[in-house]
This record gives sequence, structure tokens and C-alpha cells, in this order.
Amino acid sequence: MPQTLYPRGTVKKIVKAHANRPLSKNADILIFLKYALFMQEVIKEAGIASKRSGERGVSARSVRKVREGCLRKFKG
Amino acid sequence: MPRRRRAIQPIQPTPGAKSGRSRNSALDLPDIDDDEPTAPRFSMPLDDMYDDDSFNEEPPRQSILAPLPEYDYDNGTVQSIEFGRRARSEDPRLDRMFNKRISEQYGELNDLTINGEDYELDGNFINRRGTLLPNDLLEQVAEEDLDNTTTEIRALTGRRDGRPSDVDLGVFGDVDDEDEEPTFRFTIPPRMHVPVEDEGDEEDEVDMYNETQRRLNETIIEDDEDVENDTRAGAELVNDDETAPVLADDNETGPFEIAGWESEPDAEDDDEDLQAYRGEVSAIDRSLQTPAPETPAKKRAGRQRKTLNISRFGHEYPSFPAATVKTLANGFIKSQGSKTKISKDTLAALVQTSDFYFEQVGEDLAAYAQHAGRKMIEEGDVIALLKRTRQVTDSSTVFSLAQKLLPRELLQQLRMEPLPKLRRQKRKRMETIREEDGHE
Repeated sequence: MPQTLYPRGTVKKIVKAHANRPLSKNADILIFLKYALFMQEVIKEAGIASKRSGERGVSARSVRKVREGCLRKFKG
Repeated sequence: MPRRRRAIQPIQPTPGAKSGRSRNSALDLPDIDDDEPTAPRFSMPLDDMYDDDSFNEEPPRQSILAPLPEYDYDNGTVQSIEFGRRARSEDPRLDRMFNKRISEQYGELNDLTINGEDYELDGNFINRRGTLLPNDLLEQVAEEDLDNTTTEIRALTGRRDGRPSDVDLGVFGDVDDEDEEPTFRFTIPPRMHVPVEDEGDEEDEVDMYNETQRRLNETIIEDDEDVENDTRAGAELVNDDETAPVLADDNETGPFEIAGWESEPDAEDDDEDLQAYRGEVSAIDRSLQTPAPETPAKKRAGRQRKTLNISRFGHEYPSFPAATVKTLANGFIKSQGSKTKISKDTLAALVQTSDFYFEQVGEDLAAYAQHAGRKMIEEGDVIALLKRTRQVTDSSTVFSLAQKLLPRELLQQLRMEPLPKLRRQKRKRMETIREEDGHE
């Protein structure tokens, strides 16, 4: 991964907008770390769901099916 | 004698007299008389005409000949003038025919172009040529031979080029078309579609193949008709320049197409499946291989300008970049061992999901910070969140997670930046951890 993994400014902006608060310097890295964990979870679950429904790979339907539970799981 | 006569009469005379009469009067005289004047007329012109038109295809013409008089009657009103011309042409022929032998006549037809035309014009249709294209008649004689060859080639190759010529002769074609030509006319537009359909749909190709076979049969008959009618000749004279090259091309393509159609449908079905699989893989590969920035750049531009989301606090924020989502998701999918890659729909769903996620995280972190009595969201809040979701436990620390998931650059930043602040932040972290530990 030659380039920076994610646009830090964008993440900061997004979280700032939702929290209506400023972020400390490296908080966004941890937030992105958490986001990576979340994505891992989503894709794992989606892969399981899509396999269960007989689809190949990860489909959008399986992602939508799974994301609700994953968001709940990652709710603070 | 009388006795002999009596004896003879019962036996011989009755049959003898009858046979003698029949032999003398009916058989000999009329046959000789008929053969001299009439027989050459009917047999010769007809045969000559057929031979001239098409060498190999006599039977279909004869079958077609019967309907011809009908056409003549139908067209009679239109071509009344032409009939007069026929009679003129016929008369000189008959004179020449009688005077000269058949072989000589045949040669004369070729030699005398104008007369040859007239002879060819003997058919009802031929007269039209003269009427329709008087100037072309002179040119036709040389071209007629070509036309005959071309028509035969067409019949063999299934050419339908004859149709356009028929179309050109509107009046004549209309009357004739009622029974037979509707098929011809239909064939014309489909031909135009043929090349396109051949490339595209295989089912259509099968249909087209059947149609082409039909047309082959039809065209053979039609070509015969056309030759006899000579309607073509007039039309073709105009079209020959155009049709001739086209014919050559089509002749080349025609047989190949037909052969291809026979063999293709089965083979192509398999090919389609294979291609479909290959196409999918290739498409996915493209999406993956092609620099992701293209799609994200477009989406970013579109979303940042169009769909700047507004949080409940009234702040605008962009949706999470799709490129990042894609790289992340593909990395995770690879790590899971499946080789499939993310489709557009999946990516869109993931982007939406990540938007939901950041909204949720933002609210959670805001709540944590507020609970801690701070305005700013700090790393400790995020760590607290991770801990609460059991992602940071005693066995897995933040750094171990970061080492797994984050690239070295970010990991170094995580490590490096805290260092100068290590004391403060570690205190804070330790404090928070201790507090939570205490609570637990």
C-alpha cells in the first residue's frame, strides 16, 4: 500500500460533522482502525450470508442484510 | 374376285381400309404438314428462350411458365402497347425461323443484338424492357449473358440481390407479387438486417439460416422467373453496376455465413457460457486492476458537489471515499481466501454501510467525550469505544490490532506521535483504563 491507506482529512471531517466536536491529532487513526475492524466484520458476515444463500463472493444484498447486525455490534 | 373379295373383305378390308385411311390421312399428311409450319415455331422459340435464360434450370421454368399467362392478362391493360410490339417482334422471328434452321436461328440471336433482344422480349416481360428501358435494350444484349450467369450464381449462392430489381419494377412486381413475391419482398428488408443479426444474436442466426435456405429455394425459382420475365434485366441494367460488386462480396460471405450458421449455434452456446464467465472475471479484474482512483475520483466529484450529506448538527460532510472502501474490502476478501472481487453494487452498499458506521461512531465518540467533560474527541475515547466493543482486550491491544490492519505509515504515526506525549497520554490512557477497570 504505497499511498496512505485512507484520506485522513475526510475521515476527520466526517466524524467531526457527526460529533459536532473537534478530533484530537491521532484519534482519526484509531477511528479508522476501528472502521477497518468493522469492515472486516461486515465482509466476513456478508461472505457467510452470501454463501448461505448460494451466491458467489460478496453480494450487495448480503452486505445490506448483514450491516444492520454489524452496526449494532459496533455500537458503543 | 368376288369370292376373293368376299373372302378378303371380312378379314382384311375393314381393318385394312381403316388403317389405310388413318395412315394416309391422319398420320402422314397432318404430321408432315404440322411439323413443317407449326412445330418449329412452338418448340423452337420456347426452347431457345429457356436455353438462353438458364442452361441448367429448365424444369422450374416450365412449371413457372403456366402462371405467366395470368400475369400477362393482369398486365395486359398496362402493357397493351407492348403486346403490339410483341406481335411485331414475333412476326419477324417467325419469318426468320421458318426461313432458317434452328441452329442458325440460335446463332443469329446472339449475333443480332437488337433482334436477340426482341427474341428475348418475346416473353411477356421482355416487351416491358423495351418499353421501360428502350435505350438500355442496346446495352442489355451484351449484359444479358452476364445477367444469366449472375442469376445462376445468385441461385447457387442464395443471392437475393434479384429482389431489389423486382422492387424497381413496381407495377409489374405488384401484380405478380400477390402469390409468390410477398416472400421476396420480405426477404429484402431482412437482408439488410442479416449482417447485424449475424453478429449479434445466435437464435436469430438460426432463423436467418432457415430463411436463407428458404430464400435460396425462392431465389432459384425467382431468378428463373426473373430471367424469363426479363424484368430483372431492365432493373438490373440500372443496378448491375451496384449489384455486381455487392454480389461478389455477398457470394464470398454467403457460403461462409451459411457454413458458420450450421456449425456455430451449438459451438457458440458453449462459447457464450465460457465468454460469460470470462467476461465476468475480466470485468472484475479490470475494476480491480484499473487504478481505483478513476471511479473514486468520479464519485468523489459527484458526491462532494451533489450529495454533500448534512449531519444532524448541520455540518456538511462527504461520504466515505469508495476507493478506500474498495481497497479495504478487497484486502479482507483476499485474506478470507475467496478470489472473487467486489462488484459495483456491493461497493455501493459497503460505502453506504461505512457512512452509517461513521455516523454511529461520531455520535458515540461525541457521547464519550461529553461524558468525559471534554469538547475534543481524543484517542482515549476511541480506545474506550474499542474496548467496549471487545475489540481491545487484554489479549489484543490497540497496537496489535493496528499492526494487523493498518499500514506501516499509519502505525508509525500511531507509535511515533504519542512518544513525545507519551507521558501525558499514557497517563490519560492509564487513567481511563484504570477507571474502567475499576468500574468493571
